[in-house]
Amino acid sequence: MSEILLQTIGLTKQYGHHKAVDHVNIHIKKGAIYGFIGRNGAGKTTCLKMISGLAKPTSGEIEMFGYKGKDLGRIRTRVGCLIESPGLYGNMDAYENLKIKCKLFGIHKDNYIEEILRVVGLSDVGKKKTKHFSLGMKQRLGIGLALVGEPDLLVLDEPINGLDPQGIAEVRDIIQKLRDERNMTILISSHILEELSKIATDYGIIHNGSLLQELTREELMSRCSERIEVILDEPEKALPILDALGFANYQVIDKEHIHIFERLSESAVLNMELAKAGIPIKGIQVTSEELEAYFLNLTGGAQNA
Amino acid sequence: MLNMIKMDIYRMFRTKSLYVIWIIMAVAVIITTYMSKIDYDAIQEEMNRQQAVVEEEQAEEQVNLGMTVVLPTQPGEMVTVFDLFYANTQAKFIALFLVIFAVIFGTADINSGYIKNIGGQVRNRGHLVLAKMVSLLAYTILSMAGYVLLQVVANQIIFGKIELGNTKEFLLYLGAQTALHYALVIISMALAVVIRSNVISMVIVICLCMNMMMILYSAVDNLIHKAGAKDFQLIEYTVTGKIAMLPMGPTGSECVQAVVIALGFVIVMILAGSAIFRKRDI
Repeated sequence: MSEILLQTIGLTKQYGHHKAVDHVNIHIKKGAIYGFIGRNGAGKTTCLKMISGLAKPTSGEIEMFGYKGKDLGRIRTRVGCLIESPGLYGNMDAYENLKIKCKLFGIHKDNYIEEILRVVGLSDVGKKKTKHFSLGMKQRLGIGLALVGEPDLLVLDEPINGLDPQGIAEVRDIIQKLRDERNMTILISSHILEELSKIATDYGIIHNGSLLQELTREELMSRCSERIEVILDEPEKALPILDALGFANYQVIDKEHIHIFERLSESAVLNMELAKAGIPIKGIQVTSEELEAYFLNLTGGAQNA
Repeated sequence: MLNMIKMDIYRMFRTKSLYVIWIIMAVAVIITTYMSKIDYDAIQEEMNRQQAVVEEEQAEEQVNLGMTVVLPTQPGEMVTVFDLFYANTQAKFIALFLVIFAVIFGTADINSGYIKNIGGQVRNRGHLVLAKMVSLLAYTILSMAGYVLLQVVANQIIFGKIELGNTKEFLLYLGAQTALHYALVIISMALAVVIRSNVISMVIVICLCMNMMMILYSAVDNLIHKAGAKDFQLIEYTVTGKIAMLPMGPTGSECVQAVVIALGFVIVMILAGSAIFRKRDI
């Protein structure tokens, strides 16, 4: 099992009577790109703010790099973040914005800022004030700012929000490159599952402040792929029948569902064999799901989106 | 902490409003010096015509609590740099420019959102307020020094002659006023950090400069008078009150009192500002 770099234990944030984040337990492996998915207002940003040290949890704990509680202060510099929109001084250029953060970190290396500008694709912006930047350029500079100090964990909150397709692709490339070249662990939130699915290796789905599911890329793909979906009361009773029929690639999803990912044309045979064995079946069908549909079903349907 | 100070000083000198405010202050100082020359010439002319001392003696006795620039020079005397420095500082004319920048600088990182890039990565967020305090000390000293130089130049251009005035008294007064102005700058910055609204903070600090808090001070005075301390005047223990009431030839104890009041306010505002900023979510 990969080393866990970050985990939250019962992380909660309450504003008045409203729990924005409610007992969230996230587990992020070292080197992972963790896609944090949730609708607007689901609690993603609040969660990321707490992880980034910008907000204090009402209760619960964050453990990073083996540190927790007050000791977290010792490793805060290892976490770079871009939360909500990029915070930039509009009357300064990209270099000056980066220079300010370099001063804070005591970084005086030659070409350090130029290298960051190159990584985020802003080498040629010159003295242009950031207030004249496009949203994509601002987002990239925001990522650049998060990279100052060479963090091991990068927290990006909706970095593709509002970007055009080209901008989305550019940001995606940067994130991929950072993971591959610098071995960074990246926590990235979005409400666009389709986009996250192109880069994320692990997923956490949050809804109304609660973490609904944590799953790997493989698990997500398998749940969204074509399958025989069997609906019945006691799935465990059906498992010997499946084994006897030679089905190997199946998964018990919950107390009522079994998903079978092979021999999709044999659903009728399966139905018959289960009936013969006296196992009542509520439903059986061959189905598949789009990523977005999977997410929407999990979070209460499109009508709430 | 040292890195935070370096960061804020770098940021301060790259803030456009710093230079804009300095330029406006310079123009305003030249204008007030010119207006003072017109007033001074008018009084001289009047005096020559009537051969009598007009109301200026009375004016000297009055305490200027508002923002009117009143020249303390007696008719027949030469207008010194100290006279104009006194007139501009005790009217809180210079303070007005300093506090406007303090509010802008104090909240620039919060308003721009830049604080999100750094707020989580510092061990103690309260130190960011301390770093601003140090940067604003440099700003206050530079502004006061720049103003004195400008006043010298303005005197030469407008009055045709430079006379500093009583050097010892001037230096004492300058030192005490710099401390008081710094305290007012810190009060403004801390208020802005706590309130997080440039507009409201700006209104409050301008009201402070115009001594509009006199209504509040009077209410407090009345309560204290009822409690038995008949001679108590709260304004004597406030930064803006001290700026207005510090005499031209201050005694050592008056200067010490001014510095103690300034220091007290700086300490209280910084402790409160940094504590709130440390505990508050960004």
